[in-house]
Amino acid sequence: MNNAYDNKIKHWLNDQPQLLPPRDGFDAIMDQLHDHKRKHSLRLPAIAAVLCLGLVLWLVSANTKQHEQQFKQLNDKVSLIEQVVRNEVITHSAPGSLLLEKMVSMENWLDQLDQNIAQTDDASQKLELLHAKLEILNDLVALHKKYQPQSDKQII
Amino acid sequence: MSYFNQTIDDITKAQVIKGKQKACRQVYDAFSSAVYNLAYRMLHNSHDAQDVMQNAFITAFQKISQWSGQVAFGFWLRRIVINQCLDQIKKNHQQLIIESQEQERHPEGITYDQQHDLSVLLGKLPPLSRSVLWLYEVEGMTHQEIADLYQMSTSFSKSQLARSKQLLTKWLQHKEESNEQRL
Repeated sequence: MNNAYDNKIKHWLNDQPQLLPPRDGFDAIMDQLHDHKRKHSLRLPAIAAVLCLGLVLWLVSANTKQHEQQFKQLNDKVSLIEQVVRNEVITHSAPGSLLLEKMVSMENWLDQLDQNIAQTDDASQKLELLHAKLEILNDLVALHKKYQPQSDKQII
Repeated sequence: MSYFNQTIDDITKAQVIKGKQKACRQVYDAFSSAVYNLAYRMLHNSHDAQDVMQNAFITAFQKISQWSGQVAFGFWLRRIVINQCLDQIKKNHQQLIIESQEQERHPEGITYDQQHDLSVLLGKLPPLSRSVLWLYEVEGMTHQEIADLYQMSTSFSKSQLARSKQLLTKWLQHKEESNEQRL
């Protein structure tokens, strides 16, 4: 009995009519294939763009770090020279002399530059002001050297 | 009888790899009917069968370079279709289990009008049993091949086949009895 049903089922399954697939199936497949290819073709430029952006950001950050380091070094150097120059006690043997007036005027410039440095937020401008300060300090040191031997002679 | 025993030549394969629409159309025309029918018989849902057919062709066109030519292209494509169908069955798993349990408990709930069409009975089978029945009886696959595809043992394939035949036999007997009573 069961064998008869088995055969019946087998025959019935194999005699099933062929169903027709939907007509627009192929167009949908090709559309999806093209979409997939388009996405793939956009993926490479997108990755390249992200890499470029990352590189630029890294360079900017490295540059900023370099600027900060340069600024810190310069600031330390200037502070050190300034401390030495300003703390040096000079015996004013010739009040009103041109040399002394020049030194006072330079010290005023230094004060002015300190104010300007404190006021600016621009890193590059700060760096320029510090360079200017360093130049003035160098000049001031030179003047001090010029002044020092005369005072020494007077002491002796 | 399987409609998947056809193959394609190397030129068509090369053109499909290049994405030539004409070659893709040729492959589609040769296999779309077989693909759709297999998907429909396994899933018993035209919408799902259409989705599976679309995805199977997309996968086949994208991965055709992986087809070595050792088996007919149709059999390679059939494997893709069956895998897609199994994914679809898994997706609908919970819902289908509940439905099939209901149907097993109440086979007499099938009315005469539905019973006259055996394809309705096929649709009432649990999806795994139905797909095993179709692959074994129509596609001519062995229990070992079915077990490999489902990543199960051969006893799984045998028990699913026996189960589906048992259910169909039961329903057919019931149908014949009710026909006799009418007469």
